[in-house]
Amino acid sequence: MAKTAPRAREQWSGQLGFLFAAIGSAIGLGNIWRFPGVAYSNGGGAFILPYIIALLTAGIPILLLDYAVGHRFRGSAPASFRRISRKLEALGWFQVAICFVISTFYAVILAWAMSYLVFSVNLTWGNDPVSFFNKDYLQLAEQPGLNFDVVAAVLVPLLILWVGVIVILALGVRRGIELVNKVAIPLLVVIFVALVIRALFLPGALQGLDALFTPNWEALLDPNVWIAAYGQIFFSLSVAFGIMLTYSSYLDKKANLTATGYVAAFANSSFELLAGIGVFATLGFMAHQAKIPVSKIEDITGPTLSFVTFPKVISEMPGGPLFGVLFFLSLILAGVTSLISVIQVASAALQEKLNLNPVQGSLAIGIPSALVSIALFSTTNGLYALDVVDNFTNEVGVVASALISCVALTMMRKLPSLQSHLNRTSSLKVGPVWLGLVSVATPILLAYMLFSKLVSLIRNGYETYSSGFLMVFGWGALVVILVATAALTLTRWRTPVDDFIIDDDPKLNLVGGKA
Amino acid sequence: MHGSAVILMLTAMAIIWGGLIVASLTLRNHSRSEESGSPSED
Repeated sequence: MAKTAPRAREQWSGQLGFLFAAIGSAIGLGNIWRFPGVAYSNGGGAFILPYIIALLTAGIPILLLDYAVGHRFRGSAPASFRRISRKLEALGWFQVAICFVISTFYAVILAWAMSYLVFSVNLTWGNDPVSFFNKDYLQLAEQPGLNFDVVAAVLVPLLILWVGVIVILALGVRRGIELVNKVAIPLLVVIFVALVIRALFLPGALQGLDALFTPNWEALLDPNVWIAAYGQIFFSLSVAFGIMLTYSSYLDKKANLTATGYVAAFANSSFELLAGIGVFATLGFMAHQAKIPVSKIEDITGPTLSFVTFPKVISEMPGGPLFGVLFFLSLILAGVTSLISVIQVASAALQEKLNLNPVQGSLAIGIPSALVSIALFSTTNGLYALDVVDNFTNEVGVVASALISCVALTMMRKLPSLQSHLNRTSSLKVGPVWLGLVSVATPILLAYMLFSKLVSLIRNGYETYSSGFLMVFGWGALVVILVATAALTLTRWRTPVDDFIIDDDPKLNLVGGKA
Repeated sequence: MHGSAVILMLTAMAIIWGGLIVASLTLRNHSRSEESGSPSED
């Protein structure tokens, strides 16, 4: 089949549209339920120091690297990496496969949040939110295993969510993704600020803030605290798995990349800090009601924070139903804008590879993602499977992707041209420090994170899951990602991906035989 | 709240939210100067 001319590339309406989408992608569930607990467990107020250092030395540099690759080579992750070097196309598909897997379980958490938004109205969880979440709602199996017993209460919101996401993606970059983010992000900020203000006026709120911000300076001597800070920044910013690369490829050629990157990164951290204040003010109220110190409260991170601990607090709070509705609405807004960005990575890649339009691209990726998420994660085994797939995909897959990106681009000596590209239209220039961080410091840190994680998984497994379960959902997920990467890399392009010319530097334009 | 906790909370707010404000102003000023300077290629 002959290759056909590429479709006209979509673009954001302007920098603001891109900025909202980038912030929408970065601000996700992890900002609300991961950061507060990580900060509290890793030095409290003292954690701010490694956190800010990690933001400046790893988060923003890698974010700008993503921007530079996408904006310079103006394609999805596979197309952009192929235009750098044909050998790197597989890296792009690796990122696409990671996004596909992440979308399948991330959507299920949003489906839970949609259910809980409704449950909040009359506090359906009653006096025992733990039992309600595990037994009544999820109908969680006694033991982790492999089954396909779909839970109807999860399936219904999940289907609604997937239809909505597919429609948004089908509408395209400007009329779909950009419009949704322009509405959702301001709304999210307004709702969340209102929630935080309400939480700050609850009895015991200051006790909660005291617990979060009282510094434990000795923690700074523990390398794991620094790794936790880098991990938090890294996972929170949505870097190195194709999202920011794909989004920046829709930017106007004259966009101010670095300033936009700084705004997105600081906006993400600003929201994270706000979430920390809101969550711990609320936990302070919970501790006050129970007449216990905040340190005695369990389940302060992850799904259990949102679906067990918060319902407990909401039940005890004056005006709890309204607080609950707004809290779960903010989870949905934060999560949907992130989910859209994850799916768009795969949709954009398939559109370019198979010469599809946005409608076809959204269906080509949305339907398989929806089916997998229903089959594996809306079941009575869903919570267990989700926990394992999440851990392996993020802490092995995404970290490996970032490491390979940094090392490959360094070894192929592409960083100087990317640096020039960033500086060409940007008001804030990047210099040798950026090069050093991206080529040396960050890869060393990523390699350490990846190596120590792999050693830990091989030696100790993950949590209390059996080796068989980890083999299927943990290592199995990684194998699926690798097989998909190989298959998609070997699939023939139906658009002239290599007919690409960079108009600024002829020496760097020789890609695929056409200059 | 303890004094050290208050100081750290305010410091974090100043650095992170201040960083957002500075970056936003930088982006806005650059966009304005671009608009008033050369005409768009597009």
